[in-house]
Amino acid sequence: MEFGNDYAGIAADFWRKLEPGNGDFDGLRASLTARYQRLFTPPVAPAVAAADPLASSAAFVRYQRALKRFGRQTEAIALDAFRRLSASIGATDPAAPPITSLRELHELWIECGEAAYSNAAHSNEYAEAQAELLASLVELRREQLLRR
Amino acid sequence: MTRLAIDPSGAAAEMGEFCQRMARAVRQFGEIDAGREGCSPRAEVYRQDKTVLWRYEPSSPDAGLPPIVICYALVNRPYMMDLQPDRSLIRGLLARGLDVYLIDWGYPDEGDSYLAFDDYVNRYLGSCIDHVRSTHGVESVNLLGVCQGGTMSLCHAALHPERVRNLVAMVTPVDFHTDENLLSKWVRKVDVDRMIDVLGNVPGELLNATFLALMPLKLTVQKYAGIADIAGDREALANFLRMERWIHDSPDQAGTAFRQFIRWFFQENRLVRGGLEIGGRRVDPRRITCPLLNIYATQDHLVPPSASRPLAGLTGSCDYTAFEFDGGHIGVYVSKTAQDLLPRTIAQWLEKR
Repeated sequence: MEFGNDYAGIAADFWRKLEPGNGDFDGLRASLTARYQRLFTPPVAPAVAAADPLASSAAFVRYQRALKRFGRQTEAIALDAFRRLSASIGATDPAAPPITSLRELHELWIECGEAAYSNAAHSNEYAEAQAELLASLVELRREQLLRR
Repeated sequence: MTRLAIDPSGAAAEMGEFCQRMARAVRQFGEIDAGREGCSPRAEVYRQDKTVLWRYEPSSPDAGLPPIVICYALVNRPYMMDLQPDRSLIRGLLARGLDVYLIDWGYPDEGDSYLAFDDYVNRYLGSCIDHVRSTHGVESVNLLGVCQGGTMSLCHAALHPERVRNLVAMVTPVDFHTDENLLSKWVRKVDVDRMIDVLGNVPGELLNATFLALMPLKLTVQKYAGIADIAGDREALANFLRMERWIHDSPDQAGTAFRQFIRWFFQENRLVRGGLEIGGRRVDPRRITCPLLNIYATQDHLVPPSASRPLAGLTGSCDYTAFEFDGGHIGVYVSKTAQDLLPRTIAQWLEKR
């Protein structure tokens, strides 16, 4: 259902944009890129409370740095995906068919997201950021095990 | 100028219907029994530690061919080969009179973290093959390796060429350093030694998250939004659930074997570049002289065709056949096209040898 919410959410984002007099393009961009970015981020975040001694450990600091670095990658991909989506929607090519349903719009959102992601995910920078995120999680796990 | 031509009233109706269909599908999921692991009658005929060898009951007159042993990957579970009656490579092979065996590696736990790649390739795979050879009184068997299991089968055939009569490699990575191989690009950066030193075994969930991350939108949001399309179709929903169960049924990986597989194959590409040693013995693909059938999928996002094709010319076999399947990594087993095409291709190829 979580992913069904994405479908509904994207529709709602555009719905608001389609309302007469609503020119909140920045809001639309922020919302759609956030939806992209969430899907590009692996679901591996550990739960560490601020009061937990682990939160001040070198391993946690490393993890936060790695997460930030990886987040810059996913943010750039999400923005690229949104740019592709905007360009496709705004295409002036008469051969480009009109988008007449939310489903078609959703499919385009996915197509643009995958294209942007594939382009970046093959890069050295992405692979290194991802590997560092994994390495930092491993160190965090080690720290957790040592403290038990 | 925009391509957006969505009629607001039509969109409202579309969204309402989508929500209704999703709610209906979710209700129906709770009423569906997706069944057990696999669907064809079989019996356990051999067991060593957690490795089990299954033999399937024949469904057609014996074709008179040597038995075929399916060596599945260590990642994911082998019941993908026999997911349901109308999506089963194994049923297709049985229907053509083949005597089918399947190796199930089980679910490694902490006690297995020191199992090495050697244990899988030589000891377990070797024992299963020996059991079949002994049962049938034959010197060699037909071996069908799937994905990582194909790589393992190639290694086994190079080390023990006398045991393998014919080798079928399905969606098998051979050259791990081709440009299209996204998984390899990621894995090459991973400090696998440190990971195994800390974790012991590799959690299946981590592998699964990695596989889904290869195409995160198509493999998650697009797939799940598509549930609305099959609401009300109980059979389609049951198919969906079976597939989901398989996707998320990812065994943990024995740490030592995983470390070696990642380092030797993904990071150092030793099968192609040379220098591969398993169990203290050099693995020379040129020692594989049996006939080879290499089946790969044109749209495979996990093992791109470029990773499989280099098998041609790598071995000492002078009987090499490539078969290109128009589909993806999973479609090879479960797509409608594959159901007749692949068992027929494999059986006909074996009959000629």
